[in-house]
Amino acid sequence: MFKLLNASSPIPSNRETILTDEINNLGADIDAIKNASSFEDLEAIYNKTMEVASGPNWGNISADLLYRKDITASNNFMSTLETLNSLSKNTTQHTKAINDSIKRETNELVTDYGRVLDSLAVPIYDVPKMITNIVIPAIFVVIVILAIPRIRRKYKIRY
Amino acid sequence: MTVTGNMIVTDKYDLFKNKYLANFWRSKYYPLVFQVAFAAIMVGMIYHGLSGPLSTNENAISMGAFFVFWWGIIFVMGVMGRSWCAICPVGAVSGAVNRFNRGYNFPQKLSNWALPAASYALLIWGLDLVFSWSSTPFSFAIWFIGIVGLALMMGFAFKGRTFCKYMCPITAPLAVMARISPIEVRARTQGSTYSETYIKNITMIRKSVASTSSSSSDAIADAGETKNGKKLGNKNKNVRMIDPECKECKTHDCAKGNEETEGCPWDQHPSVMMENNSCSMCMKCTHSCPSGQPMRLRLRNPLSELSKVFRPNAGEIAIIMILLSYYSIYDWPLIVDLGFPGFSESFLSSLHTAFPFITEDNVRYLLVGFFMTMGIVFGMYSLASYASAKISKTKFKLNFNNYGYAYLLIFILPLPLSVTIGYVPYYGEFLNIPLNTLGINMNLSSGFLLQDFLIYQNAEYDIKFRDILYSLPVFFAIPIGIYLVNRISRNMLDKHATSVTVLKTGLPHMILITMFTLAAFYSDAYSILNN
Repeated sequence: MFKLLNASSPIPSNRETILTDEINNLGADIDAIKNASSFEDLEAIYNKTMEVASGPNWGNISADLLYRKDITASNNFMSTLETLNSLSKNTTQHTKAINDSIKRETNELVTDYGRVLDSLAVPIYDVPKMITNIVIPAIFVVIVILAIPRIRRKYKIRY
Repeated sequence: MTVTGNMIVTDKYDLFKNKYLANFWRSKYYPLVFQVAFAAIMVGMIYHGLSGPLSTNENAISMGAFFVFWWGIIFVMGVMGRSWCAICPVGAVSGAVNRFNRGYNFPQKLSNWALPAASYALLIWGLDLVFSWSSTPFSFAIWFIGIVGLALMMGFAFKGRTFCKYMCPITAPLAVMARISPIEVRARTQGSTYSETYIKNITMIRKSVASTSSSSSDAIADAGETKNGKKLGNKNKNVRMIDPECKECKTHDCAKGNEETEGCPWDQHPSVMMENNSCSMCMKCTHSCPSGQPMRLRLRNPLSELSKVFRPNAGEIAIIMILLSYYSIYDWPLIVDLGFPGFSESFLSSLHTAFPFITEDNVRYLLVGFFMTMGIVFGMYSLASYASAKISKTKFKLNFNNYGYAYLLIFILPLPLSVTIGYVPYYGEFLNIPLNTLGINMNLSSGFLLQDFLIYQNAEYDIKFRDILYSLPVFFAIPIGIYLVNRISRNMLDKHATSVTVLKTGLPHMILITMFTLAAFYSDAYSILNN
């Protein structure tokens, strides 16, 4: 299923960055949380989850998800992130139960991140941009391809 | 096999027998469609480079250059020789302007391999140091504009494809790598091999064709009958190897062109062409041949051209050595570390102390990776050639100019594998930028292709997989290299030479190929183990 953008749909100006750079940065943050979880480094988990939740990457990505009307993916990710953040908040408590919960929530976060990626992999067609960047150049290319043999025949230019 | 008159013609591996392939390559729109399409892509990339995002990861010119150009070049190199040159947008604009050239001849002194080798060396080592063109989209666009401008100027000033032949930064590697292409464009001949006498007569035929059109057909017809002004009579039967239709041809449109088509832009004559290094498979010979019947697009043994090079020269060997040093041997200090632990670190720091005006990175990259590696590779190759010359009592030049082709496999096998297959998981990321630029807003994450493949699910494994793709095929270079050295020795030496003599002559190069291969493997194995 794909969505269609048209002139009346506002297009986030930074969509290209979200879909290329920021999603990769978020992926790197998730990897960092995963590593910290395997080493049971609660402080690192707390700092990283805080950084993700308040940072611009997730903010822009969640805005894009809301634009795609995929509220579930956005909410799930945010809720898991908050749970993980609160679990790792009190770094003095370092019990097995907390560690297990953190590991479980980290796995959940990775799964939610996968859902976010799946949602962003659904193409949204920006029709005006497609016309200016694909259709018009393609028409121009076809015209040139068809015109060159005629021009060379008319002016006797060898091809 | 088919019989034409009294001659047997080998058509077994002719791809033109397939009607779809024949329609594709014989079409008057090949390579025009690709040229115009790639030219449009090039314009779009330059525009994006000048006006788009400043980050390399977001700009179409940086990623596009890799995805469209580099991948395309590697693919056509491995499959269809230097057919990239037929569809290259820079060559296309230069060729278009060349129709209205001022008719100057390119200086004879510069018409050799020195310029292409220098421009390639400058591309891979020099330019990045000067203005970081590969990491700054704007600089990349300016560099591209400079290349196109130079191509236009040279196309307008000189006769023929001078830019493509002598100034294009990638003409040199494509020319040597095209020798292993499994496909060749040739005129129909009897059999698939050429004899020594036939080869020696080719130069004379080529000169005759170039000098006069009316006498050229006679020259081809008489080629087997004359050698150094002496009649060979009926002893030389190799003249039969030229297709009768080509022999009787009075116009030689395939080489010179006609009113419609320009003929071979690389000044080759398909009926006597021996090598792929100057054939871009643009099919202009096929388009311009009046009957089109003698033209063939044949499958061949990819190693056939390496063991018996028609015109071996030091320039091509130099390019092979540059490629070898750039792709395989650049990490030689690590190998020295095996015998002398800590050598590389102290060596690099002492070099940095000696040359304080060069940054630490450039000491490693330019001084050691370029100048010293080149010196080592050239020095060892020259030494091996000298030893072979002494053993076989032949000229050093003969050895130097022939054995280098056996070294080609050290980097030519792993390079396309690691670049094409190794980067598959990143194709999603590469596609994101052009797709989003074109208005298709989506994110193809890493590994969108082959997602279920275990290696691509783990970033660490993925890097190792890419290195393994580079390091393991290197081992094929040893048996193939030894086989090629043996064949080259056999072709170079007198036909009565014993197998022991042949083996002894090639032994220094066999040892050196093994050493270089192991060095290349060790560098990659080291990076796999330490990543």
